Amino acid sequence: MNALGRAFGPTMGTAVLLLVSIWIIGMIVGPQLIMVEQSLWYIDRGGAAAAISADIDRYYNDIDMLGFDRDDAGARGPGVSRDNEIARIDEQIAGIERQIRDLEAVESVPRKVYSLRNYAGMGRSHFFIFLKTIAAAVAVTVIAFVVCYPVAYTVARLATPGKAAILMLGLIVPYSINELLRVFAWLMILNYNGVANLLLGALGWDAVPFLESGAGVFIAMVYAYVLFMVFPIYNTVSTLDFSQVEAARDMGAPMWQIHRRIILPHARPGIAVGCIMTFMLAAGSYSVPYIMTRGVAEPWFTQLIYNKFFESNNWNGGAAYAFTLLVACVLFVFLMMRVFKVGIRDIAP
Amino acid sequence: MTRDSGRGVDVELKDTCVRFGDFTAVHATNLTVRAGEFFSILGPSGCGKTTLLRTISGFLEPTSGDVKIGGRSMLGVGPQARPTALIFQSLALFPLMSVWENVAFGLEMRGWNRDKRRGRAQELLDLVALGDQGDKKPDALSGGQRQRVAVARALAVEPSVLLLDEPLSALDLKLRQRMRSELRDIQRKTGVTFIYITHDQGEALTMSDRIAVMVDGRIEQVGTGDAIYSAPTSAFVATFVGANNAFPGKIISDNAGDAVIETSAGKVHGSNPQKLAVGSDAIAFVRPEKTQVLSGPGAGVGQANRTDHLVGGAVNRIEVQFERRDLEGPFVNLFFRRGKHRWMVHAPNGAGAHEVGSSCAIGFTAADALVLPARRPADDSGA
Repeated sequence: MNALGRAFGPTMGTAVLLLVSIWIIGMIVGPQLIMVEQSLWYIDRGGAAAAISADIDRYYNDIDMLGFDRDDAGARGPGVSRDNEIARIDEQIAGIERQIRDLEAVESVPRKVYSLRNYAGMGRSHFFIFLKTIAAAVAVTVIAFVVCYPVAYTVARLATPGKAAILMLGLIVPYSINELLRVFAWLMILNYNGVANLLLGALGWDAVPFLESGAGVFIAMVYAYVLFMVFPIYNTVSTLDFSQVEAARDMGAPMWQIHRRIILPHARPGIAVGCIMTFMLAAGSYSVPYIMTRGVAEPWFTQLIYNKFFESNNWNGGAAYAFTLLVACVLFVFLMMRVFKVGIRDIAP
Repeated sequence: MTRDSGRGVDVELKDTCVRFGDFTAVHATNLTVRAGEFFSILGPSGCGKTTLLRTISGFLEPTSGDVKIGGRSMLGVGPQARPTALIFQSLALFPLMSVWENVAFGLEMRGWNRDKRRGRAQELLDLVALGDQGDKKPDALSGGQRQRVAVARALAVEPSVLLLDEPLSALDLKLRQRMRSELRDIQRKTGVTFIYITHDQGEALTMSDRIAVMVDGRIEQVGTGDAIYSAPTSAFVATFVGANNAFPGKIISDNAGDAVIETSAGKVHGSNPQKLAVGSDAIAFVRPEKTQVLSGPGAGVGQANRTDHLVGGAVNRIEVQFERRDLEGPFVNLFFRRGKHRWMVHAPNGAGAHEVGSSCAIGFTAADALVLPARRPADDSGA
C-alpha cells in the first residue's frame, strides 16, 4: 500500500489500487461467488406447497359455483328472501376469498433451501455427456498440439524476421474473420451434401455423416482454437538459442532426440499455456457445438448448461452444472502444470 | 567413422570456397592444419573466419572445393558424422540439463547407459577441474566454469579436431588470460587438433602453434606467431597484428633488398624482402618498440642499448611534434605527429616528460623498417 503510494504518487497509487480491486472483484471473485451461491440452493415447492395450490384451485372453483348460485337467486322474483339469499352468498364468497388470500400469501413466499442437491441431481446421461465433453476437449487439445508444434517450430526456425512475419500474418488472417462465419463455413463444408463429401464422392468414397457422427464439432473446434496453441509455442520456441540445436546436432543427436531433449523441454511453458487455453476454450465453447450438432448429434455439456438456464428455467441446476465445468477446467490447469513441471511464474512471466 | 581416441588428425582445405548468393564469404582457400596442432584463424569480424569454421564442422557445405579431415573428404558428411566438435561462441550449453548431463549428452546420443555416462562425464569434469560441480545447472556456474563445461562436453565425443568459435570473447580480461593457458594445457594433454577462431591477436599469439590471418574472405598469411609478428607479408597483417608505424610512399631505389621510399616525411630506408620494383607504391612498417625518440625532451631515455645500433646502420630520422602520452602501466605510448601522419613509440614507464607540441625527432634502423606493397596482390589479380 505504502509502496504503491511511493511508486506512483497518492493519486495514481489510489487509482491503481482501485483498478486492481475492481479487476479482482469484478472479474474473479464476483462472478464465481454468484455462480456458486446460485448453485447451492433450490426452491422448495414439494409436499405442502402442492397441497396449498390444490386448495387454492378448489376455492376458486367454489367461488365460481357460488357465482352461479348467486345468478340463480337473482333470477327469482324480487323479495326479502331473495335479498337475504344474495347477501348470504356474497358473505360466503368474501369468506372464501379471504382464505385464498391467506393461502396465496403462503404460496408466494417459497422456501429457499441450501443443499448440494443441484450437484447430486445430475443424471447418468448428463454425467456421461460431461465426461464425453471433457474427453473431447482433451482430444481437441492433443490434436491442436500435434498440428501446432511443427507449425510453430517452423515459423520460429525461419531465420529472417520478414519471412516469419508473413507466415504469422497468414496464421492470423483466418482469425480476423468472425468465429460464427468460420463455423458456418465449416458447417457447409462438412454437411452430408457438402464440399467434403463431394470431394470424397469424386474419389469414389461413400459420403461420411460428419455432422451426425459428432466428428464435425471436433473438426470445427480444432480449427477454431488451433491458433491459441500456435502462439504460446511459437513464443517460447523463438526464444531458444539456436546454437543449442546445432551443438546437439554436432554431438550426434538425431532430429527427434533434439526435439525430445532440447526444444520440447525449452518450449514447456508455452506448451502448457497453449494446452490450457485450447482446453478451456474447447470445453467451454457453446456456439461451435450448437451450430455443428444442431440436435442431430449428442449435445456438449455447455449446451446442457444453456438448456438448464433457459429451457428448464432451472437456474440453480444450471449454476451447478456450470460450476462443475469450471472445477474440471481448474483441475486440468493444475494437471497441465504438473505434467509440464511448470510453475505459475513460467505460465505468467 | 574412425576415431583414434584423443589423437588429432590433420584438416585440409582444397580450393574451399563458400558463397551466399552473390556474396563470397570465403574465397578459394588452401590450408593445411597439421595433426595435434593448436591452429588459430585470426581476423576482424566479418572476415569469413566463422564461415570457414562452420564449413569445417559440417554446418555449411563449401560452394566449391573440398574439406578433408584425416585425409578423408567430408563433402556430404553432416556435422554429426564428422570427427569434429564445435564450441560455440555462445557456448550453447543446455540450460535445463545439469552440468554432467551436458557433458554426457553426446554419449547419451550414442546410447551409453546412465552409469557409464556419469562416470565418463566425471572424468572429463575432473580434467577441466570441475569435478564437484556436476550436479549444478550451467546457470549456477561462473563464466570461466561454463567455458570449461563447454570444452568438456565437446571432448566427450572424443573428437579428433576441436573447433572453437571465439569461446573466450564473453569473459573479462583476467579470466580470458587464465583460460588461454588452460585451453593450451587441455590441448597438450589430449593431443586433439584445435582450430581456434578469434579476432583477438593476443589470444592467437599466446596460444597458437601457427596462425592464419584472414581478411575479406581470404587467408593473408599463415605462420607461427613469431613469423606473423616480425615478418608480416602484407600491409593488412602488419597493421592488424600488433601496432605498427606506417610510412607510405613510392620506392625510388632498391639495392639488394635495401630500398629507399620517398614519403611525405622524407626518404625512408628499409628492407625489401619481397623485392618490390622501383616505382611501385609501398609502405615501410616499423614497430613502435623498434622506434625511438632521437632528440627533444626525453630523447634516448631507456634506449641507451639501442643508440649504438643506430650509429652503425642507415638511420632514418623523422622530424615530428610530440602529441600525447598514454600510460599503459609498465610502458608508455608516446604519440608524435607530422602533417596527417601519426606515429607511436613504446618507451619504458619513467621516460621524461614531453611538452605537447614540442619539436623532436624519431628514428629507426633500416633493418627494422619492413617495406611491404601498399595494395594486396590478390586485389590486382581480381580473383
